[in-house]
Amino acid sequence: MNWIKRHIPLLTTITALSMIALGILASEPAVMWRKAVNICLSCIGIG
Amino acid sequence: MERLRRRIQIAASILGNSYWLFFWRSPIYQGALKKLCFPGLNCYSCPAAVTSCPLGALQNALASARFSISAGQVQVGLYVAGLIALIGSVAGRAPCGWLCPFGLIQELVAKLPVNKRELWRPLRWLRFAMLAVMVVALPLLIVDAAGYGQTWFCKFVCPAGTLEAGIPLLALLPDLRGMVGLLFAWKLFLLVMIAVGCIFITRFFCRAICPLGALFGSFNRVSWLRLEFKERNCVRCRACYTVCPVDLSFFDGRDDINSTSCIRCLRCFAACPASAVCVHFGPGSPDGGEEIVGVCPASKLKGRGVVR
Repeated sequence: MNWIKRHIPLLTTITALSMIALGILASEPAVMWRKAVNICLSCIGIG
Repeated sequence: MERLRRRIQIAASILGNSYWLFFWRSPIYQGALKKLCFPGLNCYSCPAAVTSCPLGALQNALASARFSISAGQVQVGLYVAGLIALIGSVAGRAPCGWLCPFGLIQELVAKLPVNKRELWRPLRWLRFAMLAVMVVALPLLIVDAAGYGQTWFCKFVCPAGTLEAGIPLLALLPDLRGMVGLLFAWKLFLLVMIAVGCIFITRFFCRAICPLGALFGSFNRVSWLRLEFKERNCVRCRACYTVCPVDLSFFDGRDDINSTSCIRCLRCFAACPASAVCVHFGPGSPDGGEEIVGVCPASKLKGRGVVR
């Protein structure tokens, strides 16, 4: 328990990296890219 | 220190918006870098932006999560949430103070010679409400017949989108001008109100409204980069409070030095004459008794870089 308490920053980073890895496995970067390369008119208050 | 921070802010803003071919080619960058998030509020519909906005990407992921699940996929935003968590876990809210282009704009607006006021303290919670409601709950819960939600914060609130994308795109693409309606008028009004707020209250948007700041700030207590207040060294000169852009008052115990509001600008560290503010960077917790590498003004003067 003490070890976990002392290494919370490291564990948070490992959790973040795991989430990124799972996201990559689910092809999420490609989905994000598809949204980001088109102008989102409603997002910026036009249309 | 302040000069270095300003240079880094300017360099980050230029790097994050370095697609200058929008005049001649596509009005928006379409390269592979948009698979990455900028560590700050920087609209990805901005013609010059080369990366994605973490907040916009998160909303888009949540807005399409229900459709994705119903289609048998598991694209629920883990990637973008992981990127945000990675930045937060290493640097906490430091990107707000050192990299965010909209933060830089607010600091430049605040240079207008007007007597500054303090933010009404309960307003500091508004950014968490924005995060919970506009960024997470509404995109996830209110969906159309196909199962898609909307990017509520971008659409109805985000002043960075209006300034960095809406206005430039209207200037660049005349065809869009006919589509301008009440929504854009509302967003323009909000942008002006926030700009006025930033004249009187430094970093008004960061402190009261920004959901990305709320997200990064949640990591301030557990990030690799942390501040430490050594009370026994403090001489109560109030230098830290005087220079703090978010009015944190940790010298008298009113606030925590690693508060979710702290943008890690390190002005307090540079201003403290008594080595009462220390910067730590390491994967361990300072409360756990483990030795971590850090810097104190006094130890720096003595040529040492380790706080024990």
